[in-house]
Amino acid sequence: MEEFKNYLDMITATTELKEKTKTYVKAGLADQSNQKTEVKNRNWAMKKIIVSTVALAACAVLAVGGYAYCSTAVNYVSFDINPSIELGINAFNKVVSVEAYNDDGSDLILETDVIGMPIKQAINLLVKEAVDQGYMADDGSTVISVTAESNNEEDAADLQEESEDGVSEALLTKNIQAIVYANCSSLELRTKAKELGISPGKYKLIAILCELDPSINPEDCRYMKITDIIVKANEIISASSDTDDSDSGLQLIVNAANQVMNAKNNGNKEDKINSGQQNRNQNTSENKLDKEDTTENSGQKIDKNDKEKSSSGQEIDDTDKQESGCDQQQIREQQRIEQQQELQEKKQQEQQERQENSQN
Amino acid sequence: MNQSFSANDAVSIAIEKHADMVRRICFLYLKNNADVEDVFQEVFLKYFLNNATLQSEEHQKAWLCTVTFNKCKDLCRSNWRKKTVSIEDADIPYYENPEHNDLIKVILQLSPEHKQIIYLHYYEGLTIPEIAESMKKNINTIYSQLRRAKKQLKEKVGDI
Repeated sequence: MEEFKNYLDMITATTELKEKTKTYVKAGLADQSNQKTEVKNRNWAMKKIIVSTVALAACAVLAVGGYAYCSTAVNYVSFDINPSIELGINAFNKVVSVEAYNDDGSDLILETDVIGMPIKQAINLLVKEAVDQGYMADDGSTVISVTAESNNEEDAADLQEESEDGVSEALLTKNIQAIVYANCSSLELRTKAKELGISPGKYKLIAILCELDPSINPEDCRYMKITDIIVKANEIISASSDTDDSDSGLQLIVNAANQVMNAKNNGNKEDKINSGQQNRNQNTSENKLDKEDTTENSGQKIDKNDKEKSSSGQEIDDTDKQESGCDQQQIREQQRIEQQQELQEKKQQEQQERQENSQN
Repeated sequence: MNQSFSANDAVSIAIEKHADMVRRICFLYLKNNADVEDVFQEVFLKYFLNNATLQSEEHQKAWLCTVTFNKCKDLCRSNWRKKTVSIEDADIPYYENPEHNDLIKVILQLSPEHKQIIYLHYYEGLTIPEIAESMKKNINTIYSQLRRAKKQLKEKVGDI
């Protein structure tokens, strides 16, 4: 290493170099601020490029990442009446995707654009649209199933609550009654439901139904309305005494089904009253027009009742009652017609008497 | 060392005093006079602009040493200087003895860190802890780097 030392010792700065440096440093000190900035500028030019590139890259990453974060659905809400729709919800509880699981569902989403809306507003709009398109029975017996799907229980509960609020607000504004069957499930269920091509909310109900009665084929339930599934499930529950009442899922169904039955019964009563009034109105107006047409009218009425009979097999008893009611009304009408005829005859007699009197 | 503009003598004195050391460090890293000039100018200008905090002669020397090393390494690292000129082409004065040239050549081929440690340890005579402090590194790191540098030298030159 001595050699190394000796060698280095031989290396010296030349006077030329020293002089150059001296003049440079002196000039630099005299022009201190300028030099400073010059040196800085030289470094800055390079740094500028690096910093701007890094900043640009960061922006790009943030933008792409942010967009991905915003547009990725993390939770789902499935919405079933008969139209089955599933809404994808991002981390900010905004709707980012809409998917219809049946034709009714596609019709429904064709008319509504819910992307970007908060879940509550979206559900609200969809329910209103469903009412407008006539998916809701007037008697309030329709079940709206809302299923919040999330792996996080808190999120699921929040979503369920929001959706329920949305539905009930919509029902309130549309002044219609319906039964809301709200529940939540995990995303695992969603993948299973997707395989079958039905919405997770419906799948969950069908799964319950199949569990209650293993003889039911899930494929058959595919096109059933939520209302019908719930009613059927309730029938099975009430038929078999050994089912566990403490199961909250079943309890929900029983409650919903009971509501459906109540609504239907109430609705039928109202129907009876309404149809009675209509008949009366029709008859009175028709009486004024032509008395002899009553037989034809009553014929139409019977046709109507027949239609009702065929449309709802469960309501055979009720329609029978309605029919008998109609018969009584017909009798009453005939009596009325007779009375009117009598009155008219009397009037005619009176007129004749008057004429005779005047002639006399 | 005075920073006032009239103190041209102070500048001259300082440059005279430290120019050789800076030149030696430059020799270890740089291969042409233009780079050496650049380093000289930058290092000394920086020195006169910043030396307010340096009290003792030792500190000034150590500071210059470190700054020069860093400047040289920066230059070596810069992209546009990556096109290295081979040692034969360089306009560096060579010692006549070919044997010595071998050792010097090998030292010049070491990594920048190893060169710095070899220089500080064997030429400036700093102890390992002192080197560690000036390079802001762990003492053990310096020890192992020195060992590795020596091993490389031995492999290529034989006995040192």
